[in-house]
Amino acid sequence: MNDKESIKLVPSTLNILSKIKPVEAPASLYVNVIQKIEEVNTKTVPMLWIKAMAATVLLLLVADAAVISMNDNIDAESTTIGLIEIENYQLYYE
Amino acid sequence: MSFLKVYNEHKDLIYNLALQYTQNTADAEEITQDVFVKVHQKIHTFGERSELKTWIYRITINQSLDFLRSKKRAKRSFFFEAVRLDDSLSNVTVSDYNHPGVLLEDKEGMAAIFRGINKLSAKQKTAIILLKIEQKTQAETAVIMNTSVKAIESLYQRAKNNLGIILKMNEGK
Repeated sequence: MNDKESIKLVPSTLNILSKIKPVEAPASLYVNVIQKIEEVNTKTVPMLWIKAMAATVLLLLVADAAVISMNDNIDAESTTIGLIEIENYQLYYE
Repeated sequence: MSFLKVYNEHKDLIYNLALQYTQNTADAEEITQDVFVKVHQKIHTFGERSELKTWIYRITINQSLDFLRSKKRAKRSFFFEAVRLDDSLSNVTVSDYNHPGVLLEDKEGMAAIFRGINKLSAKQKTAIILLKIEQKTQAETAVIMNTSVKAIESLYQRAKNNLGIILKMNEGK
């Protein structure tokens, strides 16, 4: 049998597929579905929690940046004062 | 629309469609569960019943194809692991054809056809399942597959041609 002949036979072969009868879903399926939904719900983090966490992280970053910029100003001032004050270059007093 | 109502109206549709892809009751049950989890998450976003039905068809098809892909990957990794441990294991073939909608006398012939169908591309396989097993019209199939009737026609033609070649090759084995 060549390729063309075998292709011609396919429609009749495919008609056999219509013999497949629809079956009913198992009765136990609903319990399993509900169980899986609950499992997924407990595993999934609620959107509100995600938003709250994101807001907290953002707030911390802003606070951190504010503190750093304040510290920079203080450091700059103290360095200037320090430079003025240090006039003795001797390491040890004899 | 309550979830229980949606479940009762669509459980057989989803289970049977998953069965056509997997030909295995345990796998079909797992796919059905996963589909209903997704339905539960999105049920409030659907207004019309026909819209929901089309979406359920699409989601079941995608879930079934994803399931088969992941199963294939798992089998492949098992194969490599087996080869590493013991070469004789590579000859093991797993026969898990278990379709309750097929009569016992048709089982052997049907398994041979499904072996061929399973070698087709995902789109061609879906076209055959929807047209020949689910008995959908070309127009309905086009809506479910989100394409035109003409595209379905040519897809089905290509599927038939490829299946003929695959079945002939399988005959020779």
